[in-house]
Amino acid sequence: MTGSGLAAPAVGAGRRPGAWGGLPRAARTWLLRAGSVVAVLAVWELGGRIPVALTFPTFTATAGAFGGMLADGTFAGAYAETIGPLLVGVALTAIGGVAAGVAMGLSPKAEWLGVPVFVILQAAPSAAIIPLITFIYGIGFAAKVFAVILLSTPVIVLNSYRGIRNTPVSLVEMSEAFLASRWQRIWKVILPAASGLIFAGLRLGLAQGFTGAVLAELLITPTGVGDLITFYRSQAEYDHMYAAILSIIVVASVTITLLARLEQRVFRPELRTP
Amino acid sequence: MRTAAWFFVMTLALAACTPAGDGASPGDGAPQGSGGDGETVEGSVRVALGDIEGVETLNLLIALERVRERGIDVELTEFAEEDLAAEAVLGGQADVTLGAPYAVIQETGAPIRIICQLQTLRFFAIADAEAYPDWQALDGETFTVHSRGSGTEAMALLVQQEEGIEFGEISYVTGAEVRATALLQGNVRATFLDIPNWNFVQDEAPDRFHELPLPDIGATDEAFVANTEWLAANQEVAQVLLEETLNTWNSIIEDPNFAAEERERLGLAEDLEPELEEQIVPYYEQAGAEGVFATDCGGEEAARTDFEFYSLVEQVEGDPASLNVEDFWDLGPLEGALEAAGSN
Repeated sequence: MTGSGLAAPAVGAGRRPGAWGGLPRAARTWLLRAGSVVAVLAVWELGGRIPVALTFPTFTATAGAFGGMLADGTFAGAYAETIGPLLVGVALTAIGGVAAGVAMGLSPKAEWLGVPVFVILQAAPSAAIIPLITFIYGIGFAAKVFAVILLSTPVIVLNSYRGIRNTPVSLVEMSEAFLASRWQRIWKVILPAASGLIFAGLRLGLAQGFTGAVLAELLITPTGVGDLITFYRSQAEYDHMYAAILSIIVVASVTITLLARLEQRVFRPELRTP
Repeated sequence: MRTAAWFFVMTLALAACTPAGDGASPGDGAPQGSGGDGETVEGSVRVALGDIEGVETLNLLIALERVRERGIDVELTEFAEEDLAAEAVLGGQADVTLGAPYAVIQETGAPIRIICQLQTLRFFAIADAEAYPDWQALDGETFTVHSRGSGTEAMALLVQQEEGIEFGEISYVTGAEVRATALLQGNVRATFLDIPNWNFVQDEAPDRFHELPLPDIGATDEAFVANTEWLAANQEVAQVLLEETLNTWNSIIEDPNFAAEERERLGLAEDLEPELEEQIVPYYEQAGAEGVFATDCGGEEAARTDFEFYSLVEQVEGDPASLNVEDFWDLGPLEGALEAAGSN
């Protein structure tokens, strides 16, 4: 309790002292996050032990398979195949998608031409479209790159477009008051203001790119981590199959979290957690 | 306290998702008729098909319709993949599916058994005629199959053994139609195709590819697989299912026009495009001549062949000779159906 009326309340003031009271805020945050993960894993374990289905393994069995596949290099070999189309696809989309989004945000003609296309693309059933890619791009590397582009482009383009369009009017007016040229206004005012949304689009685009790469491996040619899922499913080794799926979640989550950290460090330091 | 309540709710939710352990199915407890010789039988069967209605599944649709005509309530559900259909049977949402799930039975001890071999694996080894005139020319070269651990990979391994060659690489492309397109585009130069896709490739590029000889494999491509609890409670329904399937297969082999005529009579697969309709009789003519349809449900001999064949890709583990057929098959309905059909 703060007691005196005018004194500024201290952080944590008003809380009852208890088990959490002595812990710093960061530790409490981490404990809650860890608790959330443990709770989900506990429910998974329970579901596997009931079992919910004969094909649903326990978490411990999946973790064992995960460890084995990590140790014997199965994951390393699979991700070495999956990462190629993913990196090329996301790199191409990052360059082309951000450029398209920025153009659409700055030019009404480009907006009129591009926005409906990408909104429709965002709503399109990707899993149904991906097998059709083979008719144009065959079954090789190009088809998988295209699958990554297909899934990651809409979110990158539309986020960049919205970032540009949401630039605060006061900032634009200020640049006009200071007689900034068009390029100075874009380069020094609009792009920095839109960078947060653009980077968020890149992060979400990478997540979509992961989905595209794995879908292509499941639906076109079973290689990389998609092959692991297909193979272990055909062998009824469901603990290994779930371990492969879990690995996608882990890799995607870690990559996206790292990108979020980078985004905060470079563009939005004010959001950094202490 | 709140956490404990949350766990309690989640546990209840999971328990609610768990399939009923008593194996209750619509057929349970239903009075059974006498069966056999075309007599009506009361009961029901839920069939999970991991395929779509089309030319290649028309024979099954006819057989199921004939089962309906015997008084049995047949519920057919189509799934995108064979694995999903098998999982429906494991989860209790269906009684019978099609496939060759040896790995599932062995790995999970799932309460399902194969009750009748329906079709044997019939693929054609297709290669670029100029580059690969025979199997020896494919020594050290890339050969493409469906997926790792699949029947087509087992066939490729068998060819290596028989021909004394070793492929440089076995690559994987899912789906015969995708492999056919890849052949025409030049992405794939040697692979296995099924009947419709080999016909398609021949139509598109008449002299570019040719067929390489394959040993007679005889392994199961499709078999009826039933939930054991349903099977125990519905022996007569299972027997009628097999009787009508065998009758349909025999009728088609005898006269491939039977498939088209029965489709017309029963109003099946009405959405087929005209060009696909035209393929019905040629497909069944060819499939019958190639020995695709098993007319005796396979039985123990088929099981032994499958053990040998699928152990090549570790779908079946252990010494094939020491495996028990009863651990994978239930031969009861098959024997009854053959007896009823007078073929035993």
